Amino acid sequence: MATTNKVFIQIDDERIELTGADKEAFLADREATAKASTLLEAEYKAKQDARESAIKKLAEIAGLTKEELASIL
Amino acid sequence: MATTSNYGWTTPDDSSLVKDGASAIRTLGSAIDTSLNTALGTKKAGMVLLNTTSFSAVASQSINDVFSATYDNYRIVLDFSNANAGSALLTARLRVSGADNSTANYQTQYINAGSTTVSGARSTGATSWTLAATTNTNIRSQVIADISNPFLTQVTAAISTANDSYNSASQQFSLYSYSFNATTSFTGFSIIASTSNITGTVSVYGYNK
Repeated sequence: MATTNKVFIQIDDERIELTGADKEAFLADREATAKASTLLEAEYKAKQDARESAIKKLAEIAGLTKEELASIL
Repeated sequence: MATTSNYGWTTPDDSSLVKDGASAIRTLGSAIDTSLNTALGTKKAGMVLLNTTSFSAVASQSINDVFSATYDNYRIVLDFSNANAGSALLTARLRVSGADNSTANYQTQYINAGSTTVSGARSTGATSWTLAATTNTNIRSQVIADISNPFLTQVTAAISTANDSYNSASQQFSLYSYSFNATTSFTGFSIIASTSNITGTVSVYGYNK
């Protein structure tokens, strides 16, 4: 097996290779963590984009610049 | 009579008589006691190194038995590089009895600056804290975290600063606040790389009460 396919963890000073079910569980867990984090960032960015868009539309209606409206909000 | 080079404490000469040894030790001890009391009084060192661990090409690093009743607040200093290409997160979990706690009680709020772009996000009900985000291969990052009350049966809180990818043109700055929203007592923690192996060093210090 190639070295890159191996998974090592270290507990205090002891380095341990994960194999079998332990390895699969570890890989699944960290993949789930990474996915959850990516989704959260995407959700936050979508909210920010929506807010930016709303401010821009509101500014147009109110006859203010985006910056002027943002300073009021 | 011979003296020490810094404080001038009196020590016996090589030719001094053995029968005067007890007196010489008493004199030296008293001089040290006086000097230390003048310098420190009853003050103790403010920060105490509890553990330094180096790791190489691992997917995670766990540190056991660093949190205890001796201290309430701790500093964690981490310097690491990631081995694989691609965006990688470094996350952390608290730990007790030799096992990570992966319940959905981790909360993180962060603000990140990369070049002129500033962004933020919050995660609640997560199963870990995010410590740093890196890109590309062999990128080094630095994390400095202060954690409060991990051992006490209270909500654990922490703040950290990450200097992401500091050895590259992709350098970023992140500021994180964290909580673990349950009153679990922890004795250690794990750092876990999301997609890449990590190599580096982590130190844990206790703030004296």
